[in-house]
Amino acid sequence: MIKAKSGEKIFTEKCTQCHKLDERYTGPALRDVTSRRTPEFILNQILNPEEMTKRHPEVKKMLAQYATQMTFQNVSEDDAKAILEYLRSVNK
Amino acid sequence: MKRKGIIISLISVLTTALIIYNCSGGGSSSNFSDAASKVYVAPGSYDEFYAFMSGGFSGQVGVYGLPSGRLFKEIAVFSQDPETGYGYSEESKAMLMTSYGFIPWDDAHHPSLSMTNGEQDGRWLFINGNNTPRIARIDLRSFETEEIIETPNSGGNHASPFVTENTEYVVASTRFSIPIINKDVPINTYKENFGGTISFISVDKNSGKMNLAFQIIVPGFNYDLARPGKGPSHGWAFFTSYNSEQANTLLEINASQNDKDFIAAVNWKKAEEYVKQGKAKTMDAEYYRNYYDEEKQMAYSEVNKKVLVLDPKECPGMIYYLPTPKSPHGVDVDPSGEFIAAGGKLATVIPVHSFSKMLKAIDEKKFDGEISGIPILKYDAVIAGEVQDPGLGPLHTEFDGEGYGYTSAFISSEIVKWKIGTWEVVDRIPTYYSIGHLMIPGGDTKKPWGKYVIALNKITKDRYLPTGPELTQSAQLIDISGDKMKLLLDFPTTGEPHYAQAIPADILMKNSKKIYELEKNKNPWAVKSEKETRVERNGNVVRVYLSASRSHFKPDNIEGVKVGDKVYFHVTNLEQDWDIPHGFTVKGLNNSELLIMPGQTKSILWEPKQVGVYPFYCTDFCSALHQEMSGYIRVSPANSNVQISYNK
Ligand code: HEC
Ligand SMILES: [Cu+2]
Repeated sequence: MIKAKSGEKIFTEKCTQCHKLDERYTGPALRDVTSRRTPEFILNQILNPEEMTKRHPEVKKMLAQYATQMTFQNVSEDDAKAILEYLRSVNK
Repeated sequence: MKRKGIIISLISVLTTALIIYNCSGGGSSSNFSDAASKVYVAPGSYDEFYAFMSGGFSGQVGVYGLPSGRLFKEIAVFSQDPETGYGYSEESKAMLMTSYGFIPWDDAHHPSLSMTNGEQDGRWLFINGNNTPRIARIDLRSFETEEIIETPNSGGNHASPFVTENTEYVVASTRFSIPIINKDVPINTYKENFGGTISFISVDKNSGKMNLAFQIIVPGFNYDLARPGKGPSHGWAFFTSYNSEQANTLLEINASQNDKDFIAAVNWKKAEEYVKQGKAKTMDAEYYRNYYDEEKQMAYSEVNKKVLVLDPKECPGMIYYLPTPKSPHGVDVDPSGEFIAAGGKLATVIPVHSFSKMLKAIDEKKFDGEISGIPILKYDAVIAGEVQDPGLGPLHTEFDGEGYGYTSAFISSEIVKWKIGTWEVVDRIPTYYSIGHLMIPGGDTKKPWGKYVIALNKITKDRYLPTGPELTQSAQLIDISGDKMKLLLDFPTTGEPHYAQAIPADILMKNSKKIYELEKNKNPWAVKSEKETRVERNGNVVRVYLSASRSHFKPDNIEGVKVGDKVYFHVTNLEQDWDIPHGFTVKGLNNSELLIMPGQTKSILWEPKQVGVYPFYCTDFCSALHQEMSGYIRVSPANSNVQISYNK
């Protein structure tokens, strides 16, 4: 729970200029992303988005659709885990 | 005799030129491909050295790669830069404040890298403003100007900002003497009213903060260039002077020495002691120190009102004059710290003084009179040797660390290589044309990197495609790894190239800053997320707190601004990855655009004068949807009732 709280703060500061929970923005809506993607996928996408675009066919497809390369937002691994907890907590 | 030498070297220039011309027709000169392969840096590969070239009258510093000669960046220092907003933005305007008001330009001459133990440490680059006497410090992690300090009691700062062995000080002095303290006097009272100063500006070991530690009052000559000592001569600094004829006391000196001006040898450790003993007088002055606070991302000015001044008459042993022929320009200390070479513009030799002989001569009081309390040492007692036939108009010397000096000769347009100790000229190479300074990477330190010498030329004439009356200036890269100097590359430089510095790339690369961390951004106008973006009115001041991220501004529809308002756009780039800047401008902006690095906040003032709807947009091609990164701001009449509103 504490993790989800701190995850929310980091998400607000580092991600909300591109992601909303319920509508498309610069990137996809993320309310149900924890249903769509595995935790590994989400952590990789947060920590190494450029590598994901190169390696992962799904992310490559998303790049073609959204036309913006998501970039690393200078978050630590712990930050990324906290964000994941937050994304889990909003997926209801 | 001298004449003949020059004719011969001119002829050899012509023949080389002819040969080169012929070869270029065939296209397979082994000389050319040899040179080309030495300067070829394959696409995607890095250069071996960073070179920092003074921008001269552009007031900037150019950052180049060596050996390729590719230009990477121009660092705005003393000049406003419409590309980044430096000197225009609310955050940076204070950097260009002086006791004469806001000055958006200066004549930048001598880049100087910070040192530890006499070797480059890659922390800071200093450069002087020659016109309105100033010294700037550039941070070599961000490649941005961090601090500018004015020097009072000065009519122009040329012999500056050369650094002492551990960057204890950067030096400054008066190119033009003026009344000290400046006052309204007839100009023909020069001899009685004018004076010079030599300044020592301390540099804080950790922060780099500059502070005018003390000034030394000196006779009203023109102090031209300087070099602090190193190794055994650490603790001393040497300043050339010309126009020594202006001093009354010079009349006492015998006639043969009228051919000579002086190098002032300053024992700054002694000067420090005198300051500690309270021998310095506190004088009123007014000078600015402007500094950039990296966390607040904001420049501040501080006005200083006092300066400590030492008078050589009351401080024996602090300063001596070394007679030096003739109107000397450069003064350069060899890597061992023992030899001090002067570039006597009008001299027929390069005089090289010996530091150990100088100490002995001081001990034995081998003086030839004095000027204003400054003993003049006997020339014969301090000279180590004279390089004969050094070319016409010798100016500056750099060293390769292998026992050779390289001197630029302006009038005969050449570099002359000579051997330390025997003082014989061993090689010479023409430059195209009118070389001023020259630079060997680390050639002014205890540990030169050698390999290349760069000629910094004032005139290019027929060397490049013509561009109207104003032609480019140039640098020439010359290989010095063998016995014979070899010209490798000719490349244009921006602004007038005075001095330059070069440092191995790996020393700087690893520290190069990539982003500004949002968490550390303490700019009072920053927004940390889109949630914080807003527009606020206070009287006729409207503050627009904008965020920028690919590929939109938030907010992007703004209403309620009126004619006569002062609108401040405070733009924060919320991105956190390398090389994703955003730009900002609005139609009719009387200021420059902003270029905002990831995690940075910059602010610009806009004063709309006519009603209408004004587009604003991102000027940096930041993404595929960059053209979409735009917005509108509506301007209503001064008496309108339209309230501030914006999309949330
Ligand atoms: C500059 C805009 C931008 C920022 C900032 C950004 N993203 Fe993204 N994100 C995107 C885009 C665009 C995509 C789609 C993939 C692509 O084009 O690279 C994406 C994809 C994703 C995905 C995969 C979604 C899916 O459906 O598979 C996740 C998860 C994600 N982002 C999380 C985050 C988190 C968490 C942050 C903050 C640390 C963040 N993003 C910051 C633009 C951004
Ligand atoms: Cu942009």
